[in-house]
Amino acid sequence: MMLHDSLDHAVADVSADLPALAVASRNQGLSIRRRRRALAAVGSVAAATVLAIGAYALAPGVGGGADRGIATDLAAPVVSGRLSGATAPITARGVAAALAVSVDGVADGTFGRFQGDASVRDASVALLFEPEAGSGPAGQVFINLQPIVMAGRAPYTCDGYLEDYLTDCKVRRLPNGDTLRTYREDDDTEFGAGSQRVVAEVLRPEQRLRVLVFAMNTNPWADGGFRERPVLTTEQLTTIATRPWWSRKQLPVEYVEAGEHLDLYEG
Amino acid sequence: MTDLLDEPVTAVRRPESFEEFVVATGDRMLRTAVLLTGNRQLAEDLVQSAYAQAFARWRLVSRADNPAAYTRAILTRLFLADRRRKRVRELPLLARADTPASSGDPSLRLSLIDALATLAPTDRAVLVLRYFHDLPVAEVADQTGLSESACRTRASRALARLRTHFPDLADEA
Repeated sequence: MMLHDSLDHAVADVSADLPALAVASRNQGLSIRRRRRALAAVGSVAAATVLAIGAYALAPGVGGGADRGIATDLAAPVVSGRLSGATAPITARGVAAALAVSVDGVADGTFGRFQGDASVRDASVALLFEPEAGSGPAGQVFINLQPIVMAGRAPYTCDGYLEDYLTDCKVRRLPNGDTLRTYREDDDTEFGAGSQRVVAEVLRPEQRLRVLVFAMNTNPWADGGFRERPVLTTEQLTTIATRPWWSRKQLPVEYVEAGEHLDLYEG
Repeated sequence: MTDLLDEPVTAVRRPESFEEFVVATGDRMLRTAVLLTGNRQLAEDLVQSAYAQAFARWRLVSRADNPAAYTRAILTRLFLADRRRKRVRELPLLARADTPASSGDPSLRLSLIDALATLAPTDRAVLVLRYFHDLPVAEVADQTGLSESACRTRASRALARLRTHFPDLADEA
């Protein structure tokens, strides 16, 4: 007898109370969502403790590594419809929402561990992103909105320290007059052999703004575990960095409002 | 009802709601879980947890090419990750007393599940995915975290072990 048929016969009588299953699963799923949103605001130790008690499942595609304790199963904030054009003063949560929505616009995956800060001078936000494709731990995605003076003086090239420490550096002039510079850094001395970082920065002299976005193949808060490649490509980072509404002072009001529902990790 | 668990979902056939999705795929998902766990109670817990995880990320799952396969992958990973699992030798219970028995030898049905329960969890998962769901080796490897080579080795070994109880068992490899 074929094994397929034997297995089929073995469970042919098995059936479920489907409506009850749907209700129970939905209720349990709602509880998971609530707890994971809370986990995004606590440290990795506390998160690992809660997960050990709650016996959370590994998300498909998650590999090994110490970052199992950090939940990365949040969907991006929902910002429906077109942006109105209205803006509001920048907040760290707003930048986090804008970054998550931007990443969600170029890649499928889930998010966690939002962290960031915004001041009169600049704004920085980091998050963990776990792509739906591929396998391995979540990787960090980071954005810094800073004064353009931090990039030195024009013309912006790949010479100097960039040539010494970074690889695959490319510079091109965008149609609107901004400069796009991309590069990568492998085997970072801080994160160790196997770490990879790809960077896209847009330099906007008229706004005196430098938009720097990078993606890694690892979670720098964990003890190890690398993906085969960074969680976003250079092209995806370029799409994110060239969004016209990035600013050090203002953000689209839709992102500021969406950010109000995010919890930022403080640490 | 059309079995959605092993067929790619086109845009026309994407589930309208989570509830519709559970109704369409629940029976086969539970059967998979019974084969994996060898125990009805554990299987029900496993299936509910898998659907709960799917609901928690429903926005992603519902947009997947095959939401049912995605959820089955969750179920498989839950099963393999469960450190509290113990080797179960109880016989599975039927869902409802009025369900008519299917054709085939009842003793063979019960004994095969019992024999599956003697296998290592990963070997069990490999057999169920490969021969109950007819998945290609590459996909079985992906869902179990094994290499394709390890998958083939485990399937071969597990089949050999089952054949000590059921010498007439044939595979489709």
